[in-house]
Amino acid sequence: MNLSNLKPAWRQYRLVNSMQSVDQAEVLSILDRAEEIAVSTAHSYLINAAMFMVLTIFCQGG
Amino acid sequence: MELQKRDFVRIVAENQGIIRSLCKAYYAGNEDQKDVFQDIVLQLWKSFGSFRGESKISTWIYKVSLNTILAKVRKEKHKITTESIGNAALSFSHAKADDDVELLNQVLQYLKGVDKAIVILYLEGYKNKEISQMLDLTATNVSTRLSRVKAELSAKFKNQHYELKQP
Repeated sequence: MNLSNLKPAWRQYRLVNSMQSVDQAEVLSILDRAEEIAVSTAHSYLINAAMFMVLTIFCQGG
Repeated sequence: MELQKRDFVRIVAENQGIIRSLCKAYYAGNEDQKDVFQDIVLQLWKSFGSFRGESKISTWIYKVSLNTILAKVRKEKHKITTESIGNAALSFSHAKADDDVELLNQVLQYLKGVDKAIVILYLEGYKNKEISQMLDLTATNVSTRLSRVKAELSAKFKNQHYELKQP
């Protein structure tokens, strides 16, 4: 027997794992969470950039 | 956007067997499988916009899923190494390869990281060149690794019901 003989077993393994139906709400919640994280990251960048600019402008040594 | 999301959910549903099989092949615990499933869905979604249909959807899913898993495995290297060695040792000492699926389970438990990914893609019917493109390796590297893995598996399973023939 060679490794190729396990090809039908892999197909069976895949078939068994496809029987558990995917929860559409779960997939959508993953996508929504990713969008929330992206928005909050962009927001953080914006705040940090603004603070950096304020500090650069007002806190220059003379 | 909503239409794109609906298409995406349908594609995930149609190909969930691939995703769940890969999660199960790399992670034993339910929670770990759930976590990696979420990571894969996220990465698939991120690259969904740039998927132009040049390859089959299943090929794209294998590529993104395996690269996501391999990146995660690399991050958690210590944890995975200790767990998988323990699991592999346990399965070899207590289980017998009664049928091909049981043997496949043992092979998947024994193999790690990129080697496991190569074997999975080989079992799925991909050629060495295609595997190399999907995993960002050279075709020579894939061929060498596959030969080594076959030799390793033959040695490991020589006392079992099945023998893995070398190329």
